[in-house]
Amino acid sequence: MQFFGGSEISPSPPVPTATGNNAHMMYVFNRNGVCLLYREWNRPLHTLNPQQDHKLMFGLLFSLKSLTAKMDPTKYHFVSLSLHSFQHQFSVAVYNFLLMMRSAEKGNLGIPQLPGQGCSFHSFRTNTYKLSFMETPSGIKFILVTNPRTGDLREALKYIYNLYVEYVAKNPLYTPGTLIRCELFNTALDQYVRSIA
Amino acid sequence: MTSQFPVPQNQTNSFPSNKFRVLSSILLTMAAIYSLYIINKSGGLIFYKDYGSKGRMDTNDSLRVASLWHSMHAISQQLSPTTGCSGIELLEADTFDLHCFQSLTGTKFFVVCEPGTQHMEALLKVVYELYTDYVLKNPFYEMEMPIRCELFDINLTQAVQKDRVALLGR
Amino acid sequence: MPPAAPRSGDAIFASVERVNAELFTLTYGAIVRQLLTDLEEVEEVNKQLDQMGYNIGIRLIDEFLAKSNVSRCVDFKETAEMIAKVGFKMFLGVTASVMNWDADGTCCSIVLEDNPLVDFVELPDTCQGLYYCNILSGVIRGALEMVAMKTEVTWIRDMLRGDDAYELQVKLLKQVPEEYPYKDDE
Repeated sequence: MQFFGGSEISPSPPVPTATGNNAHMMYVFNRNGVCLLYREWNRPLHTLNPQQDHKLMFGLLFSLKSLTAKMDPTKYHFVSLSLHSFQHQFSVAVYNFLLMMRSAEKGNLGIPQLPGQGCSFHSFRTNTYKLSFMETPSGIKFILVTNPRTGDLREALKYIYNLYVEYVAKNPLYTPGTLIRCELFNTALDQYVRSIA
Repeated sequence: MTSQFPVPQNQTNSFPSNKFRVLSSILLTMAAIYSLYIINKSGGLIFYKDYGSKGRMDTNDSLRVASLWHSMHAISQQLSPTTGCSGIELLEADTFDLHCFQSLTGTKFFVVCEPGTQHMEALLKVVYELYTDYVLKNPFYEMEMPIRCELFDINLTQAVQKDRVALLGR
Repeated sequence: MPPAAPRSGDAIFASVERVNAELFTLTYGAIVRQLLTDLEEVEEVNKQLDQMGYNIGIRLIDEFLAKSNVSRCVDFKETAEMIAKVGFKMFLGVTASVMNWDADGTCCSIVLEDNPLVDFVELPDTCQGLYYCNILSGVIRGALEMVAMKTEVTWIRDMLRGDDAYELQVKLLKQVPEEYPYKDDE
């Protein structure tokens, strides 16, 4: 059910940069690490179950943010890494990673960051994909995973944020912090993502 | 833009010319390189050099950064939508870019530079070559341990410096 | 690519969709009336209005952030100015001013020059304890909570109670840092 969505989304969407089907998936998280939305368009490889996958993604972003804040070469260091104690022999296993996360909670050397504080990152690229990331000051994280050759998607993520505001945040039947089940949002998102990647 | 590297008073070295050319083209862009890290295959930091970022990291922090990067690099492979992912190559942050090169042996080289700096892949390859020449071939270098090889330091620094002078002389 | 410049409250207000102001005012009045009927106690109505405002605020903040291009404020002072100059303008079409700062910059007053909620309203004697516009304090509290600021918002002056202006006191209680949310590796 949908009450909103009739109004025009402003600003108008950025000019399409590609045509085709290069988008792999999209995640939306809130501040509490709840995966509000997961869309998958093209993902041949699944290494984990969905829940683990979402947690791992959130953990990766959380840690990368902490890392970039720490590494910021233009600022003197106020922020300490909010993760520590990596004495364990590293293994790729998820469990190990989550263990690290837990150890960070026990004794935090660093000063935890406020949302939006410090130098953050907006994308990273591997040989197989590109991840574009945007976090709003209200702590909502938008993640779009596309083909590694995709260009700058910062404006696109901003536009998706506007879609979220119109179709989700302003939908009175949507309870904040719960899974997004807004048909109009999904349709608009699919359509838009297809036009940009 | 200010010079990020100290200008040497004397340059007497024999730097291989092909590497020199690569470095020249890198530095012609006049973009700043902030720091360079080398991480061994188990995530330990074995080399860290700061080229003039504002807040040089202390030893503990640089070790943590290296270890965290090592983990993030591995996790990024887990999250790949397709097979054959070999980890993050470029991280674009608000105030810097991080380029990472991982050799087939699992050693990671990464450079932190100004956003948009070009030719960093080439620079990392040069650093890799210098590493094989002056670190791995050094019989007294203990594998996987922190790099304390003067020749490596000299060559790395002088390469950069010499290039900077060539640039200033133009 | 430089980030888009923050937009002024006027510019946003000019571009958003609007409804008839009187319809809005009358609707709000009807809600308050109904709450008074349902809850009977004036204190309960104040609480309920604040809660309703809070629920609006936690959603409205994203609309505000998405449309205004505002990024993180450096301090609470800037936050208060943002609310007064951009927020009020964008959603209510009025401007407010920030004054009465305390020494450590964590408490201030937002004074409304105009208040569209109270057109046509005369508070009867039976509702003396009512903060008619209490929904506004809830909106501010909810919105700020979503950007990691716990606040307390109270009415200092209320023209419906015979004061000369509408004054809201906003007090910053604490800023909530972001923490890794997962407790266990299930």
